[in-house]
Amino acid sequence: MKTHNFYQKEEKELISINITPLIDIVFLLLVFFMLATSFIQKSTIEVNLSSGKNVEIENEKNTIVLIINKKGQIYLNKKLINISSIRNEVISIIEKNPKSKILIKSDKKLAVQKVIRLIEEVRLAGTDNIKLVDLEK
Amino acid sequence: MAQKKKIKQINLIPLINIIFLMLIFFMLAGTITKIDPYKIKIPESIIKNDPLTPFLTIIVKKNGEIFIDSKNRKKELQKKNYVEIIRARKPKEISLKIDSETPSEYFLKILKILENEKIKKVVIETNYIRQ
Repeated sequence: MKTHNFYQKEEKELISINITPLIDIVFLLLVFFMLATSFIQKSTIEVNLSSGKNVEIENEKNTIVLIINKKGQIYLNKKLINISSIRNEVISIIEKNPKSKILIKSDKKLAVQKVIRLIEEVRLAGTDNIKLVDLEK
Repeated sequence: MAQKKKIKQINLIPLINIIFLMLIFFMLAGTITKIDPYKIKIPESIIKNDPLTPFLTIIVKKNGEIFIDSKNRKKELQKKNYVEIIRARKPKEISLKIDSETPSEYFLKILKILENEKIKKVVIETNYIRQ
């Protein structure tokens, strides 16, 4: 007599889950995240506005004048200087006189990017005492 | 003997594994960004500070056009109006989203206006570039 082996019969059947819809959804999610995500890190620069304390500081003794012209050339106390050496120059001035104030005079037509770069270099030198004005002033 | 039928199938499991890995990577490593309707290329910065979300954002385009973006509404405004809005809302701090190629005269003008309106703190939005 032939015995019925239940387990042997089950092994022969090919049971497969249809994974195509899963792949579709995962692909959609992948495309969404690839398009919608950004790896650029956001940052900020704080500017403290001295409200009501708009004092003329250019002629003050402790003021360091940084001029940035239309071409992006930077002058530190009327001396042409490279952007990379500003930090060290400002550090050495501040070490001599910790009360030094920075006056940045930028050309009207100069792109904001260059002004911000200059502000950051001065900030990295360790001072927040910065005043921004037009070059024409 | 009956010949066994060979079912030819491409093994999709490695593909799914890779896709899942990529999905997890993009979900964890990236941040979902809002679509910028003003298409502003914000300046790059070398200092990393935590981004803030102030109540009011002033948007300055390359040509000097000014817009105000608040938490609840986005509306194109005339130059006169934005000062009125600032006066009405009296924010302690304002976020400034300015195009990196904007002439600095607009930047300085806005800072001057905000100074006159007694805004104490202005936060300029930037993209951090590692050096």
